[in-house]
Amino acid sequence: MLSFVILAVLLIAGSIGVVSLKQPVHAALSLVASLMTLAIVYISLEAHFLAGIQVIVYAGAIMVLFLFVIMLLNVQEQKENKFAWMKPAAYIVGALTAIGLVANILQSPTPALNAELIDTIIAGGTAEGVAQVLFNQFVLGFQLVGVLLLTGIVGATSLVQRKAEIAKIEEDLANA
Amino acid sequence: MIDINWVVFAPALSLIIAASVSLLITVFKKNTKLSAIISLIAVAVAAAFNLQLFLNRAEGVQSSFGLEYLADTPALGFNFVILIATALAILISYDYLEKRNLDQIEYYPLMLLSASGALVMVAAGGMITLILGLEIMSLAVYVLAAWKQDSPASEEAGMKYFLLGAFASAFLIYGIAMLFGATGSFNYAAIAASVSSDGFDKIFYAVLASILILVGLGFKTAMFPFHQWAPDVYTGAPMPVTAFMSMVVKTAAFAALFRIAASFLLDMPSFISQILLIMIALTMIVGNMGGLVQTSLKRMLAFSAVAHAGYLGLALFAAKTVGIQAAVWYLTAYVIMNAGAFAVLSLIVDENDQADSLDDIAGLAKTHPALATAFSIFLFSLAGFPLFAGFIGKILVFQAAIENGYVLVAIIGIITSLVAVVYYLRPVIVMYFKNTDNKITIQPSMATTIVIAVAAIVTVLLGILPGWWYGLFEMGQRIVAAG
Repeated sequence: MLSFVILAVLLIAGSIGVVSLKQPVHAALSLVASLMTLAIVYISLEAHFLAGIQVIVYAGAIMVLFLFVIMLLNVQEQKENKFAWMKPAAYIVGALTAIGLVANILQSPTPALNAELIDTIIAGGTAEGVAQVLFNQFVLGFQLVGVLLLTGIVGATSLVQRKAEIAKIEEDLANA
Repeated sequence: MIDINWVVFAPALSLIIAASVSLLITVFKKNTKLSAIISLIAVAVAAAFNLQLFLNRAEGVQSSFGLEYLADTPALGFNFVILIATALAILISYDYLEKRNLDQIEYYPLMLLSASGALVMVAAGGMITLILGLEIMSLAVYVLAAWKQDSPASEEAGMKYFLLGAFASAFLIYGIAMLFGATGSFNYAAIAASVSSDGFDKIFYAVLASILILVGLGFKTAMFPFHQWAPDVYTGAPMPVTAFMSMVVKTAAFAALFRIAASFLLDMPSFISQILLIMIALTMIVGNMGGLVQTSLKRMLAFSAVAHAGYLGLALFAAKTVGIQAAVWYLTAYVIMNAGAFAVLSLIVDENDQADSLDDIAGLAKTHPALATAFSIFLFSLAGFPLFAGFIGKILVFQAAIENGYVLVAIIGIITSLVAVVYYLRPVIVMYFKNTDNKITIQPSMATTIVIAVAAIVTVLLGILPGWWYGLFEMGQRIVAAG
């Protein structure tokens, strides 16, 4: 319980950092912190596979992309905010969502926890548990995602490659 | 372990394999025509597998991956339509691409991948398979719509289709998630069982999910009010891609819609049927009214595609009885006459797909009488004149709607198809009776000529002898595979 409280505080602190820090790079690093904390929460729930994926995919690949984009575009602190009108709306929506969530938690009956129930709930988080579902029930979907990625790669390559060819022809014409 | 029956999956698989193989071959030998021939062979192989499955259909529902992938009579019927449409689109592309310097090697593999996605959508027995098939199909078509990169209209078409399509997919996925929350399953049979069970208390979420799913699939079928993208995208995309979109994407999206309607959509509170009714009525009205004011023939056919989505929608109300049979017939006729019309246009238009106004085809009957005759046959059939395929198709869908008590919307359909005669016949009158001395230059193409000839003959044959093709897809009540 103590470990959960510590992790929860760290997670919330990280998330607040993401939305409140002014420097985009700092905000992104704060997001890394909260994603890593979430991975630890997964480990404490015995979902080792999910924790590993969380680190590799979110804290690893996606965050690197974020940082790359921020550094490539060289995003500076914004002086005038074009979306100032959105601020009150965002506060209201956020507050309403929070109230709704809390109300929902308070209303729904808490099931009496026993060791057996906990075991069944957390059974799916290991690599074996995920593989059982992914390679049995959803094996077709798993394969089709591969076809989908192939389609995306072929499509993107054909569009971009041709643009490069056209640019090269134009360059040659200009030089001639 | 889950049961995997590869034969059931073979039609889609042969297209995927052929796409990969032709991509690999064209890396070493940049020959788009070779790729086209491989694609045609793949479509023939897929059709052969489909025929094999079709001949075995009496042995009960053939499925694979635990009811996630079905090869029942509706799926096999729609598969035939998609494969015919893909073959016709490949033939229309054959010379068209080369003449316009669009013969990049990725064209045919993308078309095959798109068609395989369509086959997956048609055969899907569950929501996860459906959405993946839809995305495979759409992703390839987004790229194909933007194929002509030096033309702003084509780039706009690709971009517009991509952004709006992603938006519509989001609606569909949201609906699927909500339906999963309400029923606890992704599988149609399980969802249907859950929704119609006595103790079902999450009707609100199921209704909300149905509306969201209707929005998502309504976009792909170009039904009002989600049709706005259609005229621009159809006009901007290269002609064979427009033909492919209006045939394959529409067939697959309708097949999915029919299966969903038969599984649970029609069992929802009547409120959902009312929404569907209004959508269909307005689709017919808007599509045909839009067609009336067009001067560009390609754009006119785009509005005609919207209107035909409305007519097909009429059969949705009979999805549990004769609706799917009627829809397979209608889509066969629609695919063939539409492919013919687009094939004729692809010969007439200039390099940039322009010069397809009414004035540009004036006097076509004098210079190219055979072409003018074929185009007239397609237009008569699209308008629904007796003796042509389109007429029987319309009769079938109107009958399906009336038998299920939707008389008013069927009357709207009949009235709008009378209005539609005006814009379908205008090109015919211009071709035959307008005196002009403009010289029409057509771009000869063997492959496209074959499409036009075959389509013209089949349009007439289906109109005269509609029975056998209709009888083949007799399916009785067995539409949702029971677990």
